[in-house]
Amino acid sequence: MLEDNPFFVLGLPADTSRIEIEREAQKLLGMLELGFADTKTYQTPLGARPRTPELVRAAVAALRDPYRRLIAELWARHAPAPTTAERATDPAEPSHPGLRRSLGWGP
Amino acid sequence: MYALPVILLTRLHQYAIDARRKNRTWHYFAWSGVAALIATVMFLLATTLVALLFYAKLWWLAIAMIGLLLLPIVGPTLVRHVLVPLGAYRLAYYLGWACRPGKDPTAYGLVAAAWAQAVKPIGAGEAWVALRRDKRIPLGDAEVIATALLAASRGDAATARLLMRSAHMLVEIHPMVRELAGEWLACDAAERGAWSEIAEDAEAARWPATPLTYFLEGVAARRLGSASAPSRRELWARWLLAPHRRHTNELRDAATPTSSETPAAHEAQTNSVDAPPPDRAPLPRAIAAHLAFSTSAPSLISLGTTVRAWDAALSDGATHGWLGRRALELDAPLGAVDRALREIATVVTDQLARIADGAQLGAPMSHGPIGDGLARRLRHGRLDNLEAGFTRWRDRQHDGEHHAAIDEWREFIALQTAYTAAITAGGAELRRLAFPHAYSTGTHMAAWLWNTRSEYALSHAISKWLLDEALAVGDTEAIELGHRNCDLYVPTRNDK
Amino acid sequence: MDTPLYVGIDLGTTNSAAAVFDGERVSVIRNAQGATVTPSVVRIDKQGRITVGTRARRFLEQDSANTAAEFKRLMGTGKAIEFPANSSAKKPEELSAEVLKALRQDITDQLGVQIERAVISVPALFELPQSAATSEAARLAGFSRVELLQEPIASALAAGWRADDDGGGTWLVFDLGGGTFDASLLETRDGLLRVVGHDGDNFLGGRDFDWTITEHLASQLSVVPRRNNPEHAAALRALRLAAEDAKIELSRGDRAQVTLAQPLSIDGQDVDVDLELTRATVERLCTPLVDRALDVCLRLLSGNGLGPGRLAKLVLVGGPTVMPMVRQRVAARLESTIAEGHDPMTLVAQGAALYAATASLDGRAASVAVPAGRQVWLQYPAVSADLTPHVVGKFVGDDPPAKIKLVRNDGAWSSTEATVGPDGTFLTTVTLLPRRASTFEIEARAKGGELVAVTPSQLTIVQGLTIGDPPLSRTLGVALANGHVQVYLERGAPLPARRTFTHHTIETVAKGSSDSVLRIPIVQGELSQAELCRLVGTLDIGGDVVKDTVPTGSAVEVTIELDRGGRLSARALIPAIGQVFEHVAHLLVPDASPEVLDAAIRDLRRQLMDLRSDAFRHQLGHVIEKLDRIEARLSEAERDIDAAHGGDADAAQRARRALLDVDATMAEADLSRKWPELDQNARHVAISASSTVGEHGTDAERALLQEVLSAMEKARREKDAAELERQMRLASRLSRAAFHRTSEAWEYYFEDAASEISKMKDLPKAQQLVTEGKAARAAGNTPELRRVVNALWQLLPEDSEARKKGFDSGVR
Repeated sequence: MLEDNPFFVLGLPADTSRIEIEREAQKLLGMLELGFADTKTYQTPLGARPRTPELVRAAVAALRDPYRRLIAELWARHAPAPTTAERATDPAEPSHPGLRRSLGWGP
Repeated sequence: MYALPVILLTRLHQYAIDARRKNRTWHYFAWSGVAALIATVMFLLATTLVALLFYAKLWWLAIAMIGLLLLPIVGPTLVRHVLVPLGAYRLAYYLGWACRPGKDPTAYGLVAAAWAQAVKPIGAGEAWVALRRDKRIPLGDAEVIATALLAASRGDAATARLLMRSAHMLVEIHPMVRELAGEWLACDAAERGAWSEIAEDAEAARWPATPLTYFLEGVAARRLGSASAPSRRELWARWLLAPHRRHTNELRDAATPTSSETPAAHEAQTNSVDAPPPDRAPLPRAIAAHLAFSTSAPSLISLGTTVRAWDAALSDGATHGWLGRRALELDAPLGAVDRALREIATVVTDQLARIADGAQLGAPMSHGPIGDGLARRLRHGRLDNLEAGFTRWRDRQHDGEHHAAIDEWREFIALQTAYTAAITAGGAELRRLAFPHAYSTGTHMAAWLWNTRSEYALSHAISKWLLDEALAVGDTEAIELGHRNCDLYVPTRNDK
Repeated sequence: MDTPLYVGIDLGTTNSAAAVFDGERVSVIRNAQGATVTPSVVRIDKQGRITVGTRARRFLEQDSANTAAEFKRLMGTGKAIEFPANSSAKKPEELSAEVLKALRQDITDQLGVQIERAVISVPALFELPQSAATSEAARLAGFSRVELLQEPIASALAAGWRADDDGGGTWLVFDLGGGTFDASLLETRDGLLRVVGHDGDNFLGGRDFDWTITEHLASQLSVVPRRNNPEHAAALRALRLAAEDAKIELSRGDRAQVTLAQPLSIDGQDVDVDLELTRATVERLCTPLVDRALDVCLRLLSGNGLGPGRLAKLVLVGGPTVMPMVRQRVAARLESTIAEGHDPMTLVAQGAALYAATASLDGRAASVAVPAGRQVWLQYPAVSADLTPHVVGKFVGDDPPAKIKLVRNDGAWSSTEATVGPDGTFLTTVTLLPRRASTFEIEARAKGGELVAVTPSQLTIVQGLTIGDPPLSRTLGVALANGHVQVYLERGAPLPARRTFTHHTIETVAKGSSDSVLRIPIVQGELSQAELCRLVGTLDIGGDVVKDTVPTGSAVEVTIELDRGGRLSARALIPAIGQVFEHVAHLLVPDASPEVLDAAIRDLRRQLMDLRSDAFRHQLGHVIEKLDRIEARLSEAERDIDAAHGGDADAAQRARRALLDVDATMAEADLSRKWPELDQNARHVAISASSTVGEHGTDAERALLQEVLSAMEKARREKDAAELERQMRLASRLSRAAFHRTSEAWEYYFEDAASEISKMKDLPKAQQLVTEGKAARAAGNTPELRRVVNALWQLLPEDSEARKKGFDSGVR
């Protein structure tokens, strides 16, 4: 609910009106279709995520439904501000990449 | 004239190597020296003999003598430094077989071939090795380790790791093969920086140590600052003894710092959970905690914090008030507030359970709707999954669908790993609940593998594991049966 | 100027219609006979000539064997319909394709344009195989692209488009078609139409009205024809056509005479038909059916927190809604007034045409005009509720113009000049004229300010009611091994949609082994138990295709994708071996053989009886009420199964569906009574374990049992059935271990095993063992007795648990 929150997907504040949401979604879908570079990702508190037409469609459909909008707002309004930063260092990152190979165990 | 000393020297050489394998003290160096000395003598003797034979124009006999006398000494070195880097899996197989005329020479050949395949993977090589492996019945450590290397050749290190480790449970022991598994595991752990794994293996002397393993163990012990860590000088000695010195330079230097900094700092866990500011209202605080839990390394403490924060937020009057007001403004259907609270609880529990499951965390001691729900979810989820897996295993056997021995083994270790993960997270109580089902399936499968499939080593490993579990949960009946099963004599290829 | 043509087709069970929208008005297409609706009837004669529509319908009585009607209800079943005269067989989608071809020809005849793209309406509760079959029919009819839209949305869109007031509010579309019933709750706000929810009955329609009347008429004849007798089919068909006519007559008058020119031949006897039918009788007969539809409506309303009387508008669609009795009863029970002025027969087609505009699905074949000037790709809504929508564009090629301006062609408005980016992209806003089409000229200027010719040179946007993407009508998910469903796409999700989840395998797929298959079943339905949903496809990963053995517990990333034509695709990625599997076996609606249905209904009846006696015993009023409803459904299904025995494939499908629903309801009722039983069992187990372990157990066992008993107590307090069952198992195990220490235990087991000797796999060996056992018992040799018992147990057949619940799913 933080990662794919409709408000984050559309890049809109949680108090946006219905018609504004529709307009923004329509614009985003057009821009995605034509490959506008700056629409390809969106910001969430968990970092940037890729934006797809399916996500935009799902977001706008969710915000049309008062109940689902309520849920989306609950998260979006009370969450920390979205950030562009990528996730902190991945613990799965090897500390000596390629060591096994150089010690003769390939590949 | 030559036969007797050659036999004697070969025996002595083997004795020195075997003695070294059992050691992790200064004896290791001594036995290495003895082995090297004998090898040199044998090499000189053999070359003299070969030269004489050539001189006598008995060149065919000379070639035969090279094979007979030189190969056992230089074979493993040739395999490691020439054939494996070239990816010559067939040659590695045959040379491996030729240089170890022990009781089961193909075991080493098989692993050597898989090793060559792991270094330079090609599709045909994998099929070739797999075919040789499947011809060897019943299953033993060499087959498992060869399969692990094949998995590694495809880049699937996780599977390789699991399989390598599983070889330890088998009673058939080929030291030549086991030491390679130990070396692979040490190199792999070093790559990941998992020094404690290496230290644990060394402590338990799980695998015979090759010079490279011995060096890496030294590095691990020093990095972790353990009491048994080798001195600076000893580490240098281990480094000199091990191959690939050019690549291990850096590891040695990192483990022998000149300044007073402790290398143990490298292992320090970054376990800080950014605690949300206390002045925030419960709902933003819960979301912030949730965010922190899902982004940083999950721990039982941060899970507990998150759960408590949610339980507070969802019972908070301000949250209810906000929801009610907004529901009215948005003209949401009747009952939207209650539904929303329920839905958020479900979504939150789902997400927390997923992360906790992935990180093998237990349920936090927190009582509230989310805390209780999460505890129940984790517990039943884990038990359900285990039961489903074990049941399918038996069902498959019951339906007459039989897998190759190696795949039966892989299924067992997958189930066993899942079981271990579940009981590690769930504690003793979950262990007691999980045991009866695993036990009834496991004994059934062990009996079938023994009686019908003649997979003695495999069956014994399952029985042994079940016995250990029975002892842990104190199931007297299972302990009794377990002892009886484990006491059965397990025939291996090393007996021949 | 070339006007777009948006085409909508209502492919109905009994009648079909087509409509076009040109941006200004919607017009219904008339066929060669001048009618707005074309009967969905296809006839194939001896020469293989195909006749569709009214001309084919005439043969329904004379040459029924070679004339097919109502094949829509068999869409997706794969059941071929025979045409004996031409000795050929056609699948339902092939017949639907013939109807679509005829409609497509009518459009060409009327407008002079070849149509390639269209929106086709489908019932709201169509399952995926049925939707996919509809897309296939369109492809066979020569359409290059179609999108499917649920009928109620189409009706609402058409009804809303005409409405002058845009006051908003909630509407109900009551769509009683020939074969299906749909109730949809919609809401309009700010010019946006939204489906709030829908419900329906896939097997309730005007046809059922006709059958009820036909059966009533048949029961009055001297020899009663039966639906379960294939030889009576012709007589019943004749009677039914007469009943249909009488029904229409009774829409106006109070009495109708049902007379057939020729006597019916039933069991070799000539039976004259001359009966009278009154309006009151028809109303009495049809009321239960209308009520069934109304129950669906009320359930839908209450499910969305609405009571009757809260509806702003009520739209009736479909032939049977013309009956005055239907209109009165619906208006009365829903306490709302019916919106007038809509043609219930073509409303759906009109709505589909309007939707085609929203989806920018121009029906004409794409023209291959040589582009004059700079080419520009434009993105804008063809229909917009918003008065100031965005227009996004991108010039093709290097060195794009510098500025762009849109000028409305009434000359009253022009946009500000928008700057074109170096990559050729631009973004601007236009102002529309309310409730009509606005066309804008595109003026592009180069850096120097001179005009640049662009293609296209203009764009048209219609302002009006819009609907978002068509929603998914039934939840789609993956069945898990534990019998639950992981929901991927929830009901109402906008299409096209795609979702990915990670699962874990619960069995090993061994490389090279062809019988080792990992199954990922894809199901559709609203219930969380997989067995109560419909299996719509499976993704099988076999041992013969995997690069390496995939052991238990491996991760599988499953992606499910669904387009607007009802086409499902799924992909499974196994990261450990880096392999992707995409081949989905699409399933047909399962065949419903009368024998299988008989067995199923017997089973359900038995369960019902159990539940009923239980409910009485525990005085569960609400359960009894529920069971009464189930009873009624079962009786209805029994009638359908009777008809299925007479060769009515459609009735068989309906019965299958009904039984599935009953099964789901029963499962709910079953859960509510399961707990007391379990609770009682738990008490028994606790008592027996306490005494056995107390007497024969070790100290450790006694301590363990104490813990187990307190855990059981906790589980009972929390009504946690799964936990209680697990703890019970543990208690039983402890108790058994203690019991085994006693000498009588093995004697008892021996007696027990010996009594089951007839079931054993190897009888001679079993007899031998029994003899040995008797000797051991006589000698008091417990270890020996124990060995014998264990050996005997090995010979007993195991009961392999049925895995049907999760459709054999291999993932969790």
